Amino acid sequence: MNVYSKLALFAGGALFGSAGIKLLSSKDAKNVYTHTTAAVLRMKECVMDTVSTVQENAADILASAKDINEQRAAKEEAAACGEEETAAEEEETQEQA
Amino acid sequence: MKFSIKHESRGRIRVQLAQRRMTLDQADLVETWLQGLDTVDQAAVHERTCCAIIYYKEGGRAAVLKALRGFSYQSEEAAKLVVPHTSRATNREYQEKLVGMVCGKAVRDMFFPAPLRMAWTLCRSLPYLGRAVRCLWRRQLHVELLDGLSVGISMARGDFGTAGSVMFLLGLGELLEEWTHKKSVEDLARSMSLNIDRVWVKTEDGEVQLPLSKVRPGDRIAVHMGGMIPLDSVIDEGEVMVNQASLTGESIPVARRPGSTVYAGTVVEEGECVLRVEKQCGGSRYDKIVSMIEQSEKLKSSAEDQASHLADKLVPYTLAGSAIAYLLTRNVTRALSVLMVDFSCALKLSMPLAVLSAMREASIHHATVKGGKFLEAIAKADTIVFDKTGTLTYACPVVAQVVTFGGREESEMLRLAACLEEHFPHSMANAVVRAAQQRGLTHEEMHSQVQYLVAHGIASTVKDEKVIIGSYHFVFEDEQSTIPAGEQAKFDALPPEYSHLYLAVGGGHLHFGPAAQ
Repeated sequence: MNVYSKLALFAGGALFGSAGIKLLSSKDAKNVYTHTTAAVLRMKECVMDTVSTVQENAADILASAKDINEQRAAKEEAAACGEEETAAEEEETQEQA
Repeated sequence: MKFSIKHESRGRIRVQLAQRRMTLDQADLVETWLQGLDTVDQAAVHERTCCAIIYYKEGGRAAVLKALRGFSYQSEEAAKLVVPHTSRATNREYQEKLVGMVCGKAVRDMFFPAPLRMAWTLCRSLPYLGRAVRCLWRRQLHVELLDGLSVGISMARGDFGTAGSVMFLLGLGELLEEWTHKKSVEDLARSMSLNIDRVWVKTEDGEVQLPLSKVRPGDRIAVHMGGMIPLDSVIDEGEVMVNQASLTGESIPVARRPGSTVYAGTVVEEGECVLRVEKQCGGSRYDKIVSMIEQSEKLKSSAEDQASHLADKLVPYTLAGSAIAYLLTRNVTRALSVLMVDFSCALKLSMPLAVLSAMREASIHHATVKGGKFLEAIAKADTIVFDKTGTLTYACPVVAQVVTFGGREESEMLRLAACLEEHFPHSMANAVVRAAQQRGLTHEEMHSQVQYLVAHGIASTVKDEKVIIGSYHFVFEDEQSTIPAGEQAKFDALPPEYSHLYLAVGGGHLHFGPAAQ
């Protein structure tokens, strides 16, 4: 590092120590911090709401899927029953004949 | 209330209530109200999305929707509803922490530049390394050593990613442990606080037994001897001795007179009273039970103690396994992965949960267990000692026989005894008074101030003669009464299967014996 960069570093540190800290803890800066924190909290709420919505939709999908399967199973049972009945009727008519 | 149906399937419906925001209390209220409807099987309310998920019985859809349309927060029905304590706030808190941890990890891994990530990992690893060093310092082999070693060795190899992942998983495990533990304690407290479900409410028609949830502030509840005071209230009538051990730890009962406050959870040891309810069921009792459970966790059973150290006993074997893996494969990654095996979470959590579950099971059967230590003690016991009438028996003794000495008349003695005994709520006293009433013996107040001596008896003065009633110990040994001459044989012939109550007048002795079943 040459002299100028070392000098620059020193000046920068001195400036920070004197004026910089004052700026960072002034009322305006505090305002900025407050607004930033509020924005962060709003973001957090947004994220939690999204998570909640995703959970609910997943539960809905699960319920619908179970429903579909149940209906299918019921249909197949009904179809199988129907077939058995027609088969039994045919046998009876055959025996009678 | 306005709502829109978001999703429907057989037996399940999700509706969104038309409000921008829902407070936790409102969500609890709606959930309780929904669960109280006849056609509803189950209901859950999510306050973030203002949605209610309702599982209804067959054919109940129309009824549920109709009821929902008619609901409002300001309605009388809603105001009268008693909402039990739910764990909604706890769940919300931990959900936020969980999501926060996961999101934080994702953001750091994706957006932070490498040097910043390194710095963050270093900072986070300091507690783990510190605990590991402390373990070594005390020459102990604990699970913290394993954690510290895996984190430390990863970082030494420059593999900050692995170290970060290990710490993330450890932190996640700790969070879930805490959440589960808290939920279990709350579940247990909830089930215990519902335990006295019925109380005697004094109305114009007499005493009516009502479920606790229907009691309102201003109602008058009658509590008899041995009963537990269900709610914070003020004594309206009657003087009682209250055992406040469950609240303050005092083993000696304190006297309470009309106008003084008594607290939920305390037991009426002697006397009967009528209480005026101040606060409704819910809050006060619940918080006390939670603190009681948390204290009881310190009464750990020895099995729990052993289990929490069990994980530590496995540490040497894990270290040995890691060393063997390295020797066999010459691959540090493989050796490190053996170090990650961590039994401690499971063991540290499972034992307290087992005890809490046992306590909950016992409370469902109306027995209160205060800690794991006591469960173990009962398991080892082969004799149980009970105390006092009323625990094993119905506290209703009946006078069987009046045996007099010294030529006194039976009815006179019974009259005298009833006169004294009517001031006391003890079950033996009640038996004497009842017997006198049955025989039609009335009396005027002919005695002076009656003194009550705990566990002994009562003493008073009647027409200048000292009268005492009580146990054998009290009458003969303490007060030195004697049996009139020549009647010792009669005394010895007294049947032993009855409880004996002794009455002595003016230094002589008479006796009569009620029977206690």
